Amino acid sequence: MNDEMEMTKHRLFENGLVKNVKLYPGSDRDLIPGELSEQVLRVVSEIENDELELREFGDDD
Amino acid sequence: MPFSDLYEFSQELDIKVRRKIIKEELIRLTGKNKIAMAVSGSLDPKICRGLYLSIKSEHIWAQQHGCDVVVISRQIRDTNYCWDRFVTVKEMMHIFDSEVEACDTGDKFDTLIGEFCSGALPELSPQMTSEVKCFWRALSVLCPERKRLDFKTQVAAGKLNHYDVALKLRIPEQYVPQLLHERYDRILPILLNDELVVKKSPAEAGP
Repeated sequence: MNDEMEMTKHRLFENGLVKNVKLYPGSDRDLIPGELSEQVLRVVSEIENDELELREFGDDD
Repeated sequence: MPFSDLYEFSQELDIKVRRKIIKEELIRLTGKNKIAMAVSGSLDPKICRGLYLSIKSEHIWAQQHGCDVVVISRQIRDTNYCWDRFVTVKEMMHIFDSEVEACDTGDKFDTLIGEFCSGALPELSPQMTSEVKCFWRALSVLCPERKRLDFKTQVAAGKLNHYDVALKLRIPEQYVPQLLHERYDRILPILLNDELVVKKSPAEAGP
């Protein structure tokens, strides 16, 4: 798990695209660091692969 | 650009406060070209409901869509409008993060993730303090103070309950007690003067 965290941090910051990252934790009461950081990595991968779905708010949103 | 400018703007709005209007005002106040809103099918809402990323301007994605992106779990977007609204507005508030508050290194990321998972540190990092600030900022822009005071009176009189308030504001019901609590009266001026220093666990301080 430590190796995975190190790889995540390297990918995000040292060799990556992120200047700032903030999170809204989920409903699980017992969050695990590796799982939470993996969620960030998933979104970064979607950005890198241009797979993130963009949205617009409607007038009544 | 201080948060207080957005707060003042939001006080004139009717409820429910529209995210589109908040986003447009954020863009106007910051002078940014864009703030991207996105949906991710890979976010598990049990682990992470959403997030904010500031992306290096040299990256091709940032050149196309802007440097700031707010991402919500698709599952939340599709199933819970109030959570969708609250999470996206809270994450938008990170546009106000200072350099000190930015989570921009591996060590800061380690600390932030650890604080979310343990919640037991006596004093929070600047990064976690900004998480707490943005929670309160989101509440304060989604509920103009005149309405909050009115709700407080009506709830105290038994004319409205927390669910009624949540439904009018379109925010998660579980945050209504915090909105109406006396602590909010103490936090708001501190928030507007950007003096919030949190010395409690995240669970006690915010979301």
